[in-house]
Order: sequence, then C-alpha cells, then structure tokens
Amino acid sequence: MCTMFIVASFSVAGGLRTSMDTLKDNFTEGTFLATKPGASGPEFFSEMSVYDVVRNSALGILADVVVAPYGTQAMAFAVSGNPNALPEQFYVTGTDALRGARFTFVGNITLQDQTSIDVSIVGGYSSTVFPSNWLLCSVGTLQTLTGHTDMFNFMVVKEPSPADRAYLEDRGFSLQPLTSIVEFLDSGVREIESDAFWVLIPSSFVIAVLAYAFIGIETSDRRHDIGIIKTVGAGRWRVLSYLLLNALVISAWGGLVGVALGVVLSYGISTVASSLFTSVFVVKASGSVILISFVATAGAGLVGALGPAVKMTLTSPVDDLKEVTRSS
Amino acid sequence: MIVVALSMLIFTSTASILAGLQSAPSSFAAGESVVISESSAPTIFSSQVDMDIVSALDSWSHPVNLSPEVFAFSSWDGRSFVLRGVDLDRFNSTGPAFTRFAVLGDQSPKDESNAIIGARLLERLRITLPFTMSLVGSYSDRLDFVRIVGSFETHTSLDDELFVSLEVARHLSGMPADKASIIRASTIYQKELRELLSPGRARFVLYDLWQSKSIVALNDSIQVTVGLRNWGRATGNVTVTFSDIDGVRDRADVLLEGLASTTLRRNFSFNQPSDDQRIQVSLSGDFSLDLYAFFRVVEPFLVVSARSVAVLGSEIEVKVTDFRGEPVPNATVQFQAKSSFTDSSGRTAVNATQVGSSELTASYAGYAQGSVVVQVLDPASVVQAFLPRVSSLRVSPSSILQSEDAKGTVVVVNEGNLSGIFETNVYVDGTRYKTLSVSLGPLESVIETVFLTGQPVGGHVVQVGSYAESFYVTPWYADNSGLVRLILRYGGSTSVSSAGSVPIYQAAKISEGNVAVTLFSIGAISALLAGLAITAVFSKEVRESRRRLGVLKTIGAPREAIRRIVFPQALEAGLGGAAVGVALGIIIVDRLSSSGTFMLFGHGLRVDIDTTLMLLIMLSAVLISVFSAMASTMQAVRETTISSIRSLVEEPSGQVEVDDLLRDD
Repeated sequence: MCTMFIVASFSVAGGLRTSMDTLKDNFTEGTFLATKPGASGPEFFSEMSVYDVVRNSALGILADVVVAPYGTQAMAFAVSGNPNALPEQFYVTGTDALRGARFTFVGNITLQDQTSIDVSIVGGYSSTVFPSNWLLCSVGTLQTLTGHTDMFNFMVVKEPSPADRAYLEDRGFSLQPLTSIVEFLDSGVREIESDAFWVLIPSSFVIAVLAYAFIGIETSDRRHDIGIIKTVGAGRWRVLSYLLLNALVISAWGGLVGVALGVVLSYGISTVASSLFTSVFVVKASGSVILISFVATAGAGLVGALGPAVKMTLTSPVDDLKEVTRSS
Repeated sequence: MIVVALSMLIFTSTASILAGLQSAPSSFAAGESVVISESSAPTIFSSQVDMDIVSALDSWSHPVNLSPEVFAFSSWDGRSFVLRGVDLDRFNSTGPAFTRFAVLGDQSPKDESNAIIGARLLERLRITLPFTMSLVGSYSDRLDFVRIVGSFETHTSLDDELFVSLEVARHLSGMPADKASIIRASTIYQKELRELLSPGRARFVLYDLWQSKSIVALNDSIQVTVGLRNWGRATGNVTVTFSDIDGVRDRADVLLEGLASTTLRRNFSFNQPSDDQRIQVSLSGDFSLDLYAFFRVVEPFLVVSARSVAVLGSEIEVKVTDFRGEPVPNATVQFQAKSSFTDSSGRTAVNATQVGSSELTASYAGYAQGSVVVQVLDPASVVQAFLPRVSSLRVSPSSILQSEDAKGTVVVVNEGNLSGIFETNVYVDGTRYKTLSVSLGPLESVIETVFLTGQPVGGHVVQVGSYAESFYVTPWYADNSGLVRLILRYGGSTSVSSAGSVPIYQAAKISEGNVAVTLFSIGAISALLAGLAITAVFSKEVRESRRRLGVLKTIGAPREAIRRIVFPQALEAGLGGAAVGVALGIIIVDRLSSSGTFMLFGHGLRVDIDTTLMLLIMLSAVLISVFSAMASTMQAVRETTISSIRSLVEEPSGQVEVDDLLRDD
C-alpha cells in the first residue's frame, strides 16, 4: 500500500516533468545577460579583456538619468562590441541620441547623472530586446555621464560555450538567460519534485511501523524456534541477520506488489481523470521512481524490524525455550 | 498512543499540504477576487484579455473594482520568480490590502521604471533596497532594468512576487499594449459578472442592425440585417421579432450553438409615405433588447443644385440628384425654354438667355420634379469686384446610420467681375468642421462636396455662410451600448474563475478537475495508510495481550465483555493520539507553510487551515481512530479461548486491564 502511494505520488510529479519538458522544447536559451552583482544592483566593471575572450558578446552601459528640460527620469543605454550578439544593430555617435517609441523628446536635451551632458535627439530606435522607454546614446556619452571611463555595467552574450560561462562566472559575473521560461519551468518542476519527496516521509514511517508490528508478532510467535537456534550455537549477529533478512524479504515482496499496484493506480487515476475531464493528464512512472519506491519500502521495512529483532537477540535462550507450549 | 499521534501528525500534514496544493491557483487571484482570463489560453501566463473590458466594466451598472495585471517571470541569481505588472491605484481598489508597505525616500512606486518587492521574495533573493535589478524576457530575448524602491507584505502568495509597472511586464512578456494577462475583479456581484462574461447557458444578443437605405421610396424595398449571437456556452433557441409602427411584420425562430453567431436578413416595403417609419427588431427573454432602424418613406423626388445668380449669356452648371443624394443621369433640365440632359454624374449646363428670375427645373420619369430659382443679371449691373458668397447648402441623406457618412453639397458663387479665392468654414453643431478654399473666376459658381463623417448619434446642424441644414445620426444598437459592446466582444471569450480555480494547472496541460481527482486520491490513500499503521500497532498490542484475554474467556467472559474492554482502551488511545497528532501536525504545517519549504511555480505553498479543512481533518482523524479501534476489537473478540490460553504461563502478573476486568466482573 505504501509503495503504491509513493509510486503514484512520484508518477504525478514525473508526469508534470514530461509536460513541462514538452513545453520547454518550444523555447531556446541562447543569449544571456551577464552582470556583476553588487550591493545595490549591477556594478560597473572594467574587464575589457572579457570581450577579448568571449567574442560573441556586446558590452553595454545603462544609466538612470534625469532629462532636462522635461524633468523626467529615464534609462539611457549604450552598446558596443560584436554586433552579431544582438538581434538588432544600434549606431549612434558623438552626442547624438535616439529615443524609444514611447518618448516624445525632441531637439536638444540635457542628460544629468554624475555630470550633465547635452545631446541631440536625432531619431528613434526600434528594438524587441530593449524597452521602448529608454534613450540610446553613444558609449562615450554614457561613460562621461556616469563618470566611469572605459567601464560597462552589462553584457549580452550570444550562445556562450561552457568555457565562456566558466570564464565569466570565475570573474564574478552572473548570467541570466534572456528568455527565462526554460529556467522558470525547470524551477517549477524542481519545486514539485521536491514537494513530492515529502511523500517518502509518511510512507516510510508507515512501512516502518508495519514492519515493527509484523516482526514483533513474528518474533513472539517463533520465540521457541529462535531459542533452539540460539541453543545450538547461533550468535546474536546470526539471529539478528535472520530476522532482518526475514523483514527484508517481506518488505521486498510488499515493495514489488506495491510498485505494480502503484503503476496500475497511476494510470488508473490518469485514465479516470482524462475521461472525466477534457484535458489529458499524463503520469509517468519512470525507472528511477520505481527504484526509489522499492528502496524506500525495503529500507523502511528494515528500520522498522530493527527494534523487535534487536530485542530478540538480547533475550536468554532459556526463556525462549520456555515458549515451547505456545509455539508447538 | 505515540504511534497513533505520529500517524495522525503525518496524516494532518499530508492532508493540509494537499489542500494547499489544491488551492495553490489562488496565488494568482490573491484573495477573494474573481479572475477574468482568456478562455482559450493554454496557460494563465499566455492569457490575453482586452483592456477594453476594464473600461466597459467600469461603466457597468453593478459596482466592481478592477485590476488589470500582466504576468511575466524572470530570474535573479539563479532563482526564478513571478513578476506582476500592476496599476497600483487599481490594485489597491481590489486588494488584497498591504499589511506593510514601505517605500524608500521620496521615490514613487508608480514610476514606470520602479518596482516594489514582496517580503518573502525579498528574503529569498537576499538583496538590500534600493536595488537595481536586471530582468529578462519570459518567452523571447528581452531585457529591462527596474529600481526596486520598496517592499510590501500582504500575507498572501503575492509576497513571493515582484510588482512592476504594466509597461515593464508587457515588454518582458511580449504582451501587446492594449492587453493584460488577467483582470482581477472585486465585487459582490460575482454571479452577475460570470453571467455577463461567461454564462453557462444559452444567452442571446442582437447587434449590428443595418438598413440598406435611410430614405425609401414608396413600394421600394429596404433590406434590414441584424446580427444574433449566443454568448452562452450552451446551445439554445430564441425568437426574433421584426415590427414597424403598425405592428409585427415577421418573426424568426433561431437555434444557435454556444458562442455562435448568425445574421438575419429581411426585406420590407411600404405603401404609405412617412417621416418616422422604423423597423424594430426585438429579442425577448431575460436580456430583452430592441434595435431600431429609422427611415423615411417618401415619394421619389429630384433635387437640383445650381447657382442662384448668373450673368446674362453665362453658363450655369447644374447637378441633379435623387432624394438619397445619388446622381440622376438622363434627367431633363429646363431653363428659360431650353432643355438639356444630365450626364452619368448627374451634371449638365444651361445658358442664361434672359434677364430676371427664372425657375430651373429637373424632371425624370417616376420622380417628382425638382426646381431652383436662378436670378439672371444684366452684365452692366455687375460690380467690378470679387464678391463670393455661399448660395446654397444641402445635406443628404438627412438621416444616416452611425457607420455611414452624410454628404453636404455647398454651392459657392462669385457675383463680381474679378477672380479670387474664397475661404469659408463648415460648422457642425457650432464647431468648425472643415475650411473650404474655393478658387472662383468672374461670375463663376462652384459646387463643393463635404463628407460629414464620424458624427455621434443624435441630431446635428451643419452651417455654411448663412445657410444651415440638419441631419440625424441613428445608432446601430438600441441602448445600453457599453453592455452590448461588452457582450459582443467578450461574451464567452473569457473565463471568470473564482479565486481557487484559476487555470494555472493548465500550464501542465491538466485541468482543475484532474488535479482534484489526483489530490483526493492521494489524500484518501494517506488516510488509509494512517489507519493501517494504527491498526497494525493495535493488533500487535491485542496479540501481546491475548493471554490476558484467554484468562478472561476461560473464566467465562463473553465476547461482548471483551469488546467492552478492548474498544474503549483502543478508542481512548486512538482519540488521544489523534488529538495530539492533529495539533502537532497543524503546528508543523503552519511552520512549513510560513517558511516557504513548499514551492509551486514561484509561489510559496500557503496552507490556510480554515474551519472546513480543520473539521475535515478532525472528522477523518476520529473516523480513522474509531475504525482502527473497531478492527482491533474484532481481532480480539475472534481470538479463540484455546489459542489465547496458550500464552497464560508467560503472561506477567499485575496487568491493570486484567485486574480491572476481574473487579468489574
């Protein structure tokens, strides 16, 4: 019963994993955002050498600026590096700036951060990656504004190799996939699988209690036989191993039957649920699920039997032999 | 008793966590609100509902607070979490209320690039505010940065989320600007809202009443079409009635499947002139609706447009149209005893051959004659100046549907001998609608056409120079326009879910029902296991006590006496253990729930042990204890005297139960 419970629970989680994997197949995790996390957000970094190693990348600067004379706050950004790292190309030079579609800034404006700089809005930019309420400036403009010469605070890396990732992570960079659904689904299923592992606790407990009760009765019934075994020279370890082996065999048989019933129950639930409702609910009893359920059953059975078995090894053979009337 | 308590502890924990799993979807509803989402969306994340629903429901007759929200997800430092794009003002109107809300300095959480973070997510991400966080796209490569300027706590699953502006969430999720993932609605009229947006039974609405003409000639036919939609989810039938001012003209019995539409067409003709004839299309039932098509029934007549002043010997341009404003070709135009025929555009020209006022007439078979008076001047009396003026204005048709345009025909004439450019304004209801700029030669007249488009329902006055004409715009729907539009556009296209049934589980292609069946099965097995464990322990104790039971049976104790001894003892141990186990289980679950040990799609699994759940758990615990005690009792009762008495020698003396029994007997 307990093994069946474990198998059924893990099969549900396994089914969710299968569904999530199917969903994930529709998305790719190819481009990453690399930042250096600091106490208040991404920090500026000066490792220009990073670009020399991770060539398929674009370096960027983002600054929180005040736009005069409008008096509004806005994000200004600049990118440079390998143009192939981004799906769109951005070109702006000198003190020119391009506005996102949702801004109405025109003509000459002043950007204020660590210092002030006058820029001219010469047009707009269109992007699927960057928001439409940012201002695109030249790298020089933003480095002057932020006071961080030759420094950047974000990096877009296209299809980094494992070596690239290791190189960046070794230098304190944090990598986020620019498309987060894959990570989100993975994380969601990991959470459910983690929750499913809690099923092992009640199931193992019940298995242990049952083993305790069963082996307790078994030792009580066969005390005379055990007394004879002890009398003819069997040591405590021999008696203990005999009783534990007995418990293991019973648990293993129970586990096997439970696994079979669990698989049947899982697909039963799946079939009933799918016929009652419009959607198809897939459950998946994988090999690992069956193995975990079986090991948990056998292990809990052994643990539960340990108490009465040890107790039996400690009794006197004379007392055990007195049980002759009852067991014969 | 310890085993019973432990079994019950585990059962309580399992049942509570399963209940938490069952109510996990309410994470996205956050409280008592109902959630409006796209019914065909496979997941709540891909749901897209129209923001127009918000404005339509804002004008609903029942008070409702609405919060459009956009879901996205992102990650930080390897931890995934849910982003919720909100309009904070609207969020505050629907709740849940913030039990704690702290914003740093003078920062506004409503700024588009600012964000506020839930208390539990703040703890999980281990960041210190203020914090600039990089966010990434949900389904495609996108990035954004937000300033997290404050934190909040609601004691709901929202505490696991990051609140950003609607615009930021839309960018990251790729949501169009006029859409939202869900609209949370807080109202006491939840049933009415569900009936309005997602009725389970057949419900009908009439829409888009169209008439082929606004002015109908006698015995001519007018075609009327009307749309009929079943915005409910079930098939049903309905009767649509067509009436005019004299009574019912026709009926249509229509059977329509759920969410299906059809168009009804009818032709009518009239033999009596009328200025206020109409076709009324009616739908009976609990959502009765009357749509009206207004029109005039007239004898056909001609309309003549020409300058009102001409100089002797000049050519006068004439345009002939019918009563609907359509040009009439081959119409006979007569002026000062001479005739001409209009061309395909209804135009012709006549010469002014006599000084004085003369009538210019137009005739055509089947139409009443049209006429206009033209004053012919002696050239010697014409002033040497540029003297433009508007000489006539006509608007046709005088009654149009809201989706139609009316045409204004303006005749401008120069009564002087010098050329020039004449500018004049066209006013609609006193507001300048258009400026006409007309180049005029000496004594020239020009006919200008102005299309009057986009005018709202009701009467309107067009004014040009000293001329004014009125026309009327009739609606395509009868009344309650917001409600009809809401039903037409969104009726049946959205799901209205209660807080606990938002289709988050559809993310895994499973429905709410599947989850309920699965969780119930697991819960039932968990109860069975607890019962099994308790029964096993009781059975062991009964077996160990069988020698005592043997004594009792030997001295003549009947089965009923055995039952009376064993059952209360087992029940006492069972209920005592159950009480301790349930109490401990609830405490443990509460700690697990608040610690965020159990997570589901970025939200901590919150187990709210409400009264119903509590009663269910306690009832189950009592039942498990009673059944286990009964099973043990039956086992004890069935023990035979012989098999029990075999254990007599080894039975330690002084057992309380035996002594008690002997004393009882």
